[in-house]
Amino acid sequence: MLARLLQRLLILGLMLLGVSLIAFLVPFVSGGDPVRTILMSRVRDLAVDPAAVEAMRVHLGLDRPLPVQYGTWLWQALQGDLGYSFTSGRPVASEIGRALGVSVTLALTALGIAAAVAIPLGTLAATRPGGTVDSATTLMIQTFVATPEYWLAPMGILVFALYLGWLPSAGWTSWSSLVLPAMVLSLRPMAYFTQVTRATMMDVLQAPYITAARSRGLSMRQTVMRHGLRNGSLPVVTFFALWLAGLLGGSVVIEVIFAIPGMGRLLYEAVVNRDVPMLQGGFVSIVALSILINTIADILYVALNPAVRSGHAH
Amino acid sequence: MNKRDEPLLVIEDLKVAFPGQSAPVIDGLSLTLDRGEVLALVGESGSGKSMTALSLMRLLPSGGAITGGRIRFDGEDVLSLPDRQMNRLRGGRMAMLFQQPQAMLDPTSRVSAQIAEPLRLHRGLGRRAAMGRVLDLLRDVGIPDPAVRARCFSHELSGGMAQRVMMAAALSGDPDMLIADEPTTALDVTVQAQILRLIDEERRKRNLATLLITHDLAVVAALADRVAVMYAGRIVEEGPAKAVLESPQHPYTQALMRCSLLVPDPHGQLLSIPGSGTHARELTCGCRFHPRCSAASQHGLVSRCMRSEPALKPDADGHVTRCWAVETEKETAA
Ligand SMILES: Nc1ncnc2c1ncn2[C@@H]1O[C@H](COP(=O)(O)OP(=O)(O)OP(=O)(O)O)[C@@H](O)[C@H]1O
Ligand code: SF4
Ligand SMILES: [Mg+2]
Repeated sequence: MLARLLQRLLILGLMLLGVSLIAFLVPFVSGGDPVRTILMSRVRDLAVDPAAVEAMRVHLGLDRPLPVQYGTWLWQALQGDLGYSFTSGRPVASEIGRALGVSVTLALTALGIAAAVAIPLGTLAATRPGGTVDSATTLMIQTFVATPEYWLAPMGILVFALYLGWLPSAGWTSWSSLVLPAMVLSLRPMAYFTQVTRATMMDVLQAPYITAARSRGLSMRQTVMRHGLRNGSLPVVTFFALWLAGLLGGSVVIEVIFAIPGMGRLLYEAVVNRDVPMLQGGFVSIVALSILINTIADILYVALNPAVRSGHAH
Repeated sequence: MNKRDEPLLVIEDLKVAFPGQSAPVIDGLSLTLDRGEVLALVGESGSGKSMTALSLMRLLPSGGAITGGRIRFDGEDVLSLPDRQMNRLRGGRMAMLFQQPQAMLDPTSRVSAQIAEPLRLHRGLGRRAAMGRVLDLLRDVGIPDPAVRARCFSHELSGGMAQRVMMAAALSGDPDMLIADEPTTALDVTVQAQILRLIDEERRKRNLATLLITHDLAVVAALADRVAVMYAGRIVEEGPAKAVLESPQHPYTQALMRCSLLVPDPHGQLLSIPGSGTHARELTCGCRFHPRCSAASQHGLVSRCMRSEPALKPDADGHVTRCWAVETEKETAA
C-alpha cells in the first residue's frame, strides 16, 4: 500500500515536471521570438524597434541559456509566481486562482447535481431492465446528450430569469447565480453518469454474491444498498474524476453566455490577446489539478476495494 | 392435506424455462422433503439441479421463470407469496450453500456483516447482539480465531473457510431447510470431507431438512436418506438411498454408477457416460435418454422409447423409476 502510494507520487512528480517543461516551451514553439511577441502585444500595430527588442531580451533574462531560464521559471512557479499578465499586468497566479475557484465551484455543483440524479436513477433502471423507469431513463439520456448547451443556456435564461424571474440571468454575484449555469452544465454529465451507473449496476446485480445476499432474505432494495452500490461505485468514481478534470478548464460556452469569470473565459481571452504568461500558467495549473484529481480518484478506488487495498487485486 | 401430515417441502410438476430456449430446463419435476431428512439430487452437468434449487428460493437468474407447477413449504404456497413474505422465508426458513463460496461473498463487505444479516432481518437482533452471535456461529462452524476472522474480507479466506462462513450465514437465520448446491465441488479434496462432515453435524443438531446436490455417489451413500436422479430437467429415478445405490433401475443411473465405480476420478467427479445430455431436453418426444441408452435395444423397445415418454412408476418400497424397460420387466415378472 505504502509502496504503491510512493510510486504514485513519484510518477506524479515526473508528470508535473514534463508538463512544466512543455508549458515553458510554449512561447518558443508557438510563434517565433517571445520578446517580439511580448512587445507586439503591448504596442500592437507599431513596428517593433530592434533595439527595444534587445533591451527587453536582456531585461527579461532571455539572453541566458535555455536550461537556466527554465530553472528560474520553474523555481518561481514552484513558489507560486507565474509572472504577470500581458494584458492586465496583474499576477497570473492570483488571476488563475480566482478563475479556477469559480470554475471548480461551477463544475462540482454541476457534477454534484448530475451524480445525485444519475446514481439513484441508473440503479433503479438497472434493477428492472426494460421497465418503465428504464425506458424513461433511456429517453432522458438520449435527449440530454443531444441537447446543445448553447441552445439550452439561453432557453434557461429565457424561462427562469426573464419569464419566471426566479434566478439572475447572468453574472457571478450570489449563490443564486450558480443555479442556472450549474443546471445547464449538469445535463450532459448526468446523462453519461446515468448510463455508466446503469451498465455497472446491471453487471453487479448479476454477481453471485447478490444472489447469495438475496438468499439470506435481503430485499432487492436492501441488497442494492448493502452490496450493490459499493461494488458498483468504482467505475462511477473514475468517471466522476474524468469529468471533473475535463470541466476544470471551464466551459467557454456557459461562461460566456452567463458572464461568469471562470477559467474558460480567462483562457479564451488569453488566447485572443496572445497573453503568453497567462496561457502558460493556465496550462500548468489545469494539468496539475487534473493529475491531482486522478490521484485522489486512484486512492479512493483503493479505499473502496478491500482486495486491492491488501494487494490481492487481479 | 393437513399441514402436519405433509412433508416440509412439496414440489409438484415444476416447470422452469428461459426465453429463447426451445425447451424448458425443468419439465414436470416433483419431489418431497421431510423435516430432518437428507435428499440427494444427482445428475450430470446441465440436468437442472441448480435451477431446481434456485426455484425453491425464487432466485432464478434473470430471464428464467417458473412457468408451471407448485411449491409448498410448510404448507405455504411459495410461488404465490408476496415479496415481503418471500424475503422472510429466504434466510429465515430456508438457507442455501453454493458451489463457489468465495464468489458468494461480497468482496467489499466484511464476513461478520454478511453473517449478521439473517440475524438482524429474521431474528430481530440489534447490531451488538448480532455481532456476539456471529462469533458463536463462526465457532460452531469450526473457524479458529472467530474475532479475527469476523473482520476478514472474502479474498482473505481460503475456499474451505469461505464455505464455513457461508454455512455460518446459512445457519444464522435458524432455518428449517438447507439447500446445498455442490458445496464441496470447488474445494480441495482434503477440505471436501471436512465441509461435508460439518454439514452433516449441523443438520443433525438442528434437524435440518437438507437438499444436497452433488456429483459424488460416495457422498450420497454417506449422507443421504433418499436420492433423486435428474436427467434433462426430469427426475428419472428416486428412492431410498440404499435401494437406489444397491440396485439402480434406470439405465442412466446404472451408467452413472458404473462410471463412478470403475474409473476412480482424481477430482471425485463422475467420468462421463458416452454421448452428451446437453441437448436431451430439446427432444420433443420419447424418453429423453434414448439416444444414449443401450437398454432400449436390448429389450427391443427402441421404437416405443423414441415415441413416448415413460412415467415415473413406483415399486413396492417407494423406489420410483421412469423407464419402459424397467416397467416391462416388472410386468413380465408379475
Ligand atoms: N442464466 C441462464 N440463462 C439461460 N439458460 C440457463 C441459465 N442458467 C442455466 N441455464 C440452462 O439451464 C440448464 C440447467 O442448468 P443447471 O445450472 O440447473 O444445471 P446443473 O444440473 O446445476 O449443472 P451443474 O452440475 O453444471 O451445476 C442448463 O443446461 C442451461 O442450459
Ligand atoms: S425408457 Fe427406453 S430409452 Fe429410456 S431409459 Fe428406459 S429403456 Fe432407455
Ligand atoms: Mg449446478
